[in-house]
Amino acid sequence: MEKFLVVYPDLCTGCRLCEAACSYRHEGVYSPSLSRVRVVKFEDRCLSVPVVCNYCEQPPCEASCPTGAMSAAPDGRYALVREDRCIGCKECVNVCPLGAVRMHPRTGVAVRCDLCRGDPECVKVCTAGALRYEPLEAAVREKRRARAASLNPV
Amino acid sequence: MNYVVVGVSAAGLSALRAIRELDPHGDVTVVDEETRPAYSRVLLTHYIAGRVGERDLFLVEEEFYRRCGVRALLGVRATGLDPDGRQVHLADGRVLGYDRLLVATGARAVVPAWSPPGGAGDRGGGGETGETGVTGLRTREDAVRIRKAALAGRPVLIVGGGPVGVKLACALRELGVIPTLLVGSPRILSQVADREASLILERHLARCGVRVRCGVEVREVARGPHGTEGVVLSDGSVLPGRLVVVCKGVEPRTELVGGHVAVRRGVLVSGAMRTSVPDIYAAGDVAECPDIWGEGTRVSAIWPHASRQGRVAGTNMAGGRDLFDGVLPRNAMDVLGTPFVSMGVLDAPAEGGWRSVSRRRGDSYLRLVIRGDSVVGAVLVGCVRLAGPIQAAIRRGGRGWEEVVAP
Amino acid sequence: MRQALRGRRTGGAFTLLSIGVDPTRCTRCRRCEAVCEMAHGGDGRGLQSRVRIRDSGWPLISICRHCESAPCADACVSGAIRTDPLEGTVQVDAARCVGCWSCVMECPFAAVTMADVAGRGPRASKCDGCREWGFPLCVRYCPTGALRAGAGAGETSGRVRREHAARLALLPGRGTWPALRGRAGGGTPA
Repeated sequence: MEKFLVVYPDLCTGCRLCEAACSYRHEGVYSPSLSRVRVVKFEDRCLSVPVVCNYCEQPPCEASCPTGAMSAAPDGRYALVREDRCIGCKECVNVCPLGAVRMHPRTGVAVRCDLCRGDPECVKVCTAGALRYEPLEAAVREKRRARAASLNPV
Repeated sequence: MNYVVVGVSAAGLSALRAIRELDPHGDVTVVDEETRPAYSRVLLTHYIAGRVGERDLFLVEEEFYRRCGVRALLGVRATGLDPDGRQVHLADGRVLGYDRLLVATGARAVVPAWSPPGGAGDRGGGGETGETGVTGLRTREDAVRIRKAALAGRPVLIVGGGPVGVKLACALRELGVIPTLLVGSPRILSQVADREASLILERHLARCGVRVRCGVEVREVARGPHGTEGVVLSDGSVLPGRLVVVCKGVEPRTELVGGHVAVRRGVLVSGAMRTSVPDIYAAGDVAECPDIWGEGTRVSAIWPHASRQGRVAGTNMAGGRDLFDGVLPRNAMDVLGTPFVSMGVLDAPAEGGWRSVSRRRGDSYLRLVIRGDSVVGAVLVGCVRLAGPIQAAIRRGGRGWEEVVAP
Repeated sequence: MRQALRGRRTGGAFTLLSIGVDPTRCTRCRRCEAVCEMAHGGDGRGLQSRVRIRDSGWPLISICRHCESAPCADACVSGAIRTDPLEGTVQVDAARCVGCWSCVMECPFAAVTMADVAGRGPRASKCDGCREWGFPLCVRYCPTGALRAGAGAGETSGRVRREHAARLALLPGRGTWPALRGRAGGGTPA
């Protein structure tokens, strides 16, 4: 069953370990600006929300890419940015409704989550359980259960 | 790490920059038989037309090599290769050892059999070297010679109806000269245009005063007491002219490595620009690479390919990772005010699965060559606004072309 | 396609200006064309506008994206098109342009056109980031945010990310969060 990176924003503590783990895995340094997952904070409400590629069924980033750099790996599962084709036009960055695609500040190519090719680092370090790698059905089931529980407190 | 780059034109220069970006301290030596720094061959016809000065042809100043910490052996020819000993032999007897070698020796102008020795393509050859005689259009010296001849009022005959010949004809016309263009094929630009585009452009050239004769072969150069007087055609007739410029295409200069690495028409390379011998790379006009469809290899001697291939080669030589995603033959030119762009595959076989989509309005023409659902080639004359988006469509598998040409 | 240094940015994170284009928001109002025409000395016929909108098809918005590895700069035979290292914009030096059409052939967005420059003949013309105006006017007049500007693509995407995060987290009318009330498990209110 296909797994997705599912975000539980209300569980996020804002620790940003996910950003550190992601940047280390992909870039070899601890640098949130190089992370594929970004935590957005609303300080006034004490809320943090991780934002990462949702793996849209009809990805606007791929549709808008003029060179075909934004694509999927040959097995079709993990998102890929073909660096040899990316011209850095930032179209993908600007059409993504989530703001989940970013430009690498050094190489000038588009960067997005590739699910660590099936073994996401961010999930491993998220002790709060705000990032999980699970089949969508399981995530929906969990949320349905939580909703039911919140409606009918015991 | 010891890098040797033979040839510093488009490919060699990009490679140099890529190497230095990744390896600021490695030993880099470039060898080139030209005595002056790298210049833009593409600008030669623009120089002839007077749009750029001779100094503007240079891509880098003399100091460039020193500033990059690169040893530049200019005016020196590489004459031999010893791949086992990892050495390049130079004409002056010196020997260069290398860890990584880039062959960027480019291509020479094709010299037809009727052209006198020392004529087209042969640098510093014998025969006339002034405003009359036979020359190619490949080097700065060629361009300087042609411009001087034209400004001195010498009638010019251009042999070859490809992009270089046509661009030269336009440049000379802009100088106020009436050139004559002799084309062996039945139509001009036969390798880079379809029949309709050739016709539109030929009529336009004629209207602008360029004399075009198609389907004519030159048998020999006509000479008289004062030197070159014209050419004798295969039907015996003589066309007068004092300077004959041969623009019959180019052939890769593979002599340095032929016999040591796999060569077809050019030096065969992978997507990483590696030849069949480890640590020897090739890039630019000398290289033969897969096309973007992965369906065969070809030499595609255009400047953007050379630049890109050089960069890929240099990056890989210096331990980085880059891939050339294949050649897409293409060209763009201004034909006396009418723009012309073509790219990809232009001949659609009659068999199933291939078709053309075309639009014509006056002298504006657009044609797409479609294979299955994918655009694989295009010709545009006049209104070339969609050329870029069409190229992008070709590059990403040929899909989405309907949206590009939708009215 | 990352090529000659002349077309390459140094440090995209510190770009002073980035025009972000989101064609999904374009309503074809064409205010951008009108204001660009005026900003660049046009007479209303549209010959000076560096942005062009189609009714349908692709590319919908033909405007320079000031690409990090601009294909136009890579292809330029005379070095006329370069990236300004300070601003991060890709600029055409009309004095060096020879009108060869190579850039027109390379731009996937049909952002480069030819315009007659001071009687010298057609030379490459495209968005210059409104450097003389201090701020891209098309962005100022775009009502939907199809054209946006920010200090680098990081800022334009950062704003979108924040809006999206707000939608996820601050769904209106849901009251306080179960988690904040000390209830274990919580869960996003459906």
